[in-house]
This record gives sequence, structure tokens and C-alpha cells, in this order.
Amino acid sequence: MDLTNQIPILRRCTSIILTAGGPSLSKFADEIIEKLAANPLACLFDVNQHFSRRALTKLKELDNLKIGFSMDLGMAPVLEKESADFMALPNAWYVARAPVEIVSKLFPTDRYVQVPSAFNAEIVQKSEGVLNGLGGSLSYAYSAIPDHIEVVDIYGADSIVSPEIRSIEGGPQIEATTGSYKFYREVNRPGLKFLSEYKYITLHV
Amino acid sequence: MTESSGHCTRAVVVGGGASLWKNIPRILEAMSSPVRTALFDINANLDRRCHSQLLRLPCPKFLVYRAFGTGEFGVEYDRVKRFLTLPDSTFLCNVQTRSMAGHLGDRVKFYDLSGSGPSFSGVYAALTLLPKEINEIHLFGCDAVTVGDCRSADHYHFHNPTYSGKAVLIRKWISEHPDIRWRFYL
Repeated sequence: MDLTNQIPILRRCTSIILTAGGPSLSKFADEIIEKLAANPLACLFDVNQHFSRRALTKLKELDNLKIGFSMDLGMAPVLEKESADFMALPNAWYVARAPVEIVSKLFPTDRYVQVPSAFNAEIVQKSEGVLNGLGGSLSYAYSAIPDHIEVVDIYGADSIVSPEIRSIEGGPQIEATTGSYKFYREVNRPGLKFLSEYKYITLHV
Repeated sequence: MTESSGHCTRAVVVGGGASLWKNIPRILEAMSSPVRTALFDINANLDRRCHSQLLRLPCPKFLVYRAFGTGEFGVEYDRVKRFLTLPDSTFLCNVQTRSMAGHLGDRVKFYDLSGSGPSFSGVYAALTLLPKEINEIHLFGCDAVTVGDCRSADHYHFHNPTYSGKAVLIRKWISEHPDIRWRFYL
């Protein structure tokens, strides 16, 4: 997906800081803020608001372009508060695949971009009435990195280099060898490999 | 580990994955940082590409040679000798090949590197040898670990299934050391 048409200010950005939801994210929170503060043309890609919900106060002080991504928004009552908080930040945009009429119940949609999935994420039923586009949000954000960006720092994508998948939100660690979680890795490693052919990628875990 | 690495808090580990070429300027930049940094050059992957630049860097440098003495000995031997002309350089050799490296002098240190089993990995060996003061590790050319790409910087289309075994080993090590800041450059 090329977001520079819908979000023209993205053309001015020189690098992307992408934050996912692995446990290592907490280790790097201060560093991410410092990097954004040091370069006003660095853009934050915040997947499922794992980072912004932890650094909301500090992000309010930064004018960097911030784009939230989620495959899950609007599919179930997840991320409702987090997405609204995120959209209250300065220079915040949101990219999801949910219809505008659903998203409009969460936050004003003048800076909302609806984009269908670039990768075929697997939809799973997490619990009664709760669906997730598992593995999709990270690859969804990968696929939105514009051509002109050469430098990408990725934080919290632990599952790429870890034998198990765990979320920073806690819960048991899960062996990423079967089912949906295997799919998660099978989607994300090729996406990262593709990006690395053309860009300078640094994976911080 | 040798005394020269004692004050380092950061390590740069260089494997031989396909992305290595692209990232050589970033390696040299990382090693020029004010943070005291030690280089762990696996199989001389870096030295044989930018020896003259490394000659100008004073930081401690360690060569870990994968199964030294089991390949083309003349080539390996020349690479080790060349590496040891770098300032503050040391060869970390598998004790099992001591007889082949013993005459290289006192800048050779012997370690038992057999712990990684049949899928011997120089990167894994380096990780197990790092001093405990190291709290940040920059990894270059480790594409098999990150994106599962087993192409090497030497032979573009080379593909070796044993690399996936090595990657599993290294990923496990990473998950067992969550306090370290791991930075993979692709």
C-alpha cells in the first residue's frame, strides 16, 4: 500500500520507527522516545498501540508524524480506548481495514485511512465474540513503509528471533511452532526479508 | 576471554549472511562509537573485506574461526595470520584444533567450542564467549537467524539446510538472555 497519497506529510519523513508488541519493547521505551525527539522527520508506526499506551504522556510532547496500524480495529471490542487515545496525539493518523462507519464511533475519521490487508492474515476466534487478525498487524505495517524510506528501526518484534511468542501484555509464552502462531512467523519473516532487500533495517529485541 | 575485552560493554558480531556487504559502513560506524566496543569477526568475514579500515580502529578484535583446520587449511591459515596483524587482535580457536594453531603465538586463545554440536556456528560460539559486562550486541550478517535467509555473502546462491539448525540454537540463546539489547542489522 502506498500511504503517501492519503497521508502526504509522510513524503517528508526520512525514517520509520516501527513498534510491535513483544516483551522487549519495554526495554527500549526511552530509546524510542529519544530517537523520535532527535529527528522530527522520523515517523512512528505503532502496531496495535502497544507502544503508545505505555508512552502516551511523552508522545504528546512530540510533533513527529504518528501512524497507528491494526488489523483488529473494529472487528471486536479491542483497542477502542487505545486507538482513541492514540488519535488524540499531535499529528496522529490511523490505518486499518475496518469500514469508516465503524471507526467513526471510536474517533473522528478525517485522519483515518481504510486499507484492505496487503497480506492474507489468518482470522481466529480468540474467545466468545473476540476475533483477531493474527500476525496481520505487523505485516500490515511493513507493507505500508513507503519506497522513499531507506532506514527502518523495528522494536518489539521478538517472535522473529525468539523460539516462542509472548506479548508485552503478559500471559503464557506460546511455542510458535503450530497453528496460528506458526502462521504469524511465516507471514512476518518473508515480509522483513523483502524489505531488507531495499532498505536498511535494524531489529531491536 | 582476554583482558582487552574487559572494559567493553558492547559487542559487534559479524556473521557471513548475504546482507553483510550492504552493512559494512554501519559496522565501521558502530565500531567507531565512543562506547567501548569489541569486534567478534566470525571466519574473518569482515577483515577479508575491509582490512585496511580495521587497521585504523584501536578497539579489541577477536577472530572466531568456524572449525579452523577442517577446511582449506592454507586459506584459513592466511586469514588468521592477516587478522592477527590488526591492532589488539586475538584468535579464539577451538581447542580441538590446537595442534594446527599452537604455533601462531600468544595471541591465540583456546576454548572448547564443541557445545553447539554438529550444526557448529561461529556466531553461537562467539555469544557463549562474550564477557558478562557486555549488555548490548550488534549482529551483522546473521540473516538465517532473523529472516531465515541462508544465502551467504561469499556465494550468493549458496543454501545450506544446516543453517536453520544454527539459527534455532542462536534464537534459543537470545531468549535466554533477555536483559541484553540485541540489535540485528539487515
